[in-house]
Amino acid sequence: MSGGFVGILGAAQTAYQRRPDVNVTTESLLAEAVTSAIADAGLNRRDIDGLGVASFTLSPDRVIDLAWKLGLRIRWMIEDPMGLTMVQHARRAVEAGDASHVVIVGGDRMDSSRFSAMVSQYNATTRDIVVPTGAVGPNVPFSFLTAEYRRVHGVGREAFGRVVIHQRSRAATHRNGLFTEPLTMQDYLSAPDVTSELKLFDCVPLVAGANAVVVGEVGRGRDAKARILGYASLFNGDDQDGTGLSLGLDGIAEGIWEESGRGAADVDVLCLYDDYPVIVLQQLHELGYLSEDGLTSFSHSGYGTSHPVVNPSGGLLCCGQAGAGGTLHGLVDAVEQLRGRSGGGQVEGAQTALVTNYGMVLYRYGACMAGLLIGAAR
Amino acid sequence: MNGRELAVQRCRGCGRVLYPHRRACPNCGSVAPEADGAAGPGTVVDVVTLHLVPGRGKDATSNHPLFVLVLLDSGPRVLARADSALVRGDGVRLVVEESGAVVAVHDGKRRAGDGSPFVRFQA
Repeated sequence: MSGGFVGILGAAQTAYQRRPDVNVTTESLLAEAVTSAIADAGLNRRDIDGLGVASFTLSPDRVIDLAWKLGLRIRWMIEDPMGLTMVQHARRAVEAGDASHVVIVGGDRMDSSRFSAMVSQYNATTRDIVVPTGAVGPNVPFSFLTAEYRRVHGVGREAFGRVVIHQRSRAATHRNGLFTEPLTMQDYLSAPDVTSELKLFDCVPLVAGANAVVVGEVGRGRDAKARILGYASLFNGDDQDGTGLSLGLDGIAEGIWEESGRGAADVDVLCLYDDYPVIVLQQLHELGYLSEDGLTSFSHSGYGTSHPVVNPSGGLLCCGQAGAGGTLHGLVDAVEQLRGRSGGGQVEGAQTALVTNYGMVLYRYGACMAGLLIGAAR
Repeated sequence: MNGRELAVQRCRGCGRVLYPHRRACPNCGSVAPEADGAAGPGTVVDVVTLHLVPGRGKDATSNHPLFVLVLLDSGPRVLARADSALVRGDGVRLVVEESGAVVAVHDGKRRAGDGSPFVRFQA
């Protein structure tokens, strides 16, 4: 790299489909997102020399297969289920001169049968000692986290309902909004129980779709769509020996603020990973946006009406989770917000956005947490 | 309830009890944790009832299986299926069925707390 800085040069999100056509495949979704992101960056495929892929259902193909089928001749590649982690790797690769323009793409044609197969074989521990109990999938482990949160903070189900109600109101303004009908607390509370701790709307709907960004050096005719200001992550922070409620985001945030010279008060948009409402609330705690007093106020007076705006697209809870592509949903949404291109859902004056990823349940809860701070290029 | 008692590891280096099994102790780094220690008694710290099963749409399960989070006296937290209507504070032992399922069996004791949702347990 020749003295510039690394930024997000392009971003794209395919349509999310709850019931995709038979000709829609994981490969076709990833290809569409890659092609659109390259076009958004004002590049062509010959400019791309790096590719990273997050996908649960591309198998048996891997990143090199996708590069081949897209006609990409690359000198750098990576696979990881977490999109933000790959963005950081790509950033460092560009800084080091190992690549110039890297596409990071994530997506899946995810449906209930593929999801069931995936969660049954998620890792060896899950396969060998969790699945035999009948607790297939993440709903039971996250029910325990939800129960723990309710005990620690002394809140009822309404606290989670307000997350869902807020995000649904936001999804109504997003082109990939799936659950967009206004939701009342009574609607939320009277929805079917998935478990004794989770209502139907606490669980993300599965969709087919993909997200992609282009990471590269800004300058020399390359305009940034967003600047990368800071990143930090923590993996296997507690050996799965705790309650799982502590996500490690407080320490990650310290690293991000230190690198970026910004603080929590500077953030306009929060795209928080939202596989369950409890994870959204816990992140808000660890980022310092919710004190104990704040939680009480938050729980009883509203959500999303104050600064910063949380999950302005409606998040995975209301747009759906396109498998591993969900780890790039918030980033694409954040880039669009900073470009001022979010239409009716635009956060006025958005200059700084924090995006997070959380997940990879090893036994009882997620083991990976990452945060990326980006800023407007203009 | 048929089955063998759940096995945990005890680190030869520092004595820490591990579950699920690891290749190295996260506490002291020993790469030879002993693999055949019995889990011993534990206490139910949470109970979750499953109403909908992934992949089966909205078809409710007929028997609403019960899952428990068990805090072993020796330290680890274990996710298990309950073999009866357990509540917070129930003392249990953990057995492994032939299928590999870890099942919590009430030992007839109230080992800690009274089932209050605000009781906290220390590892």
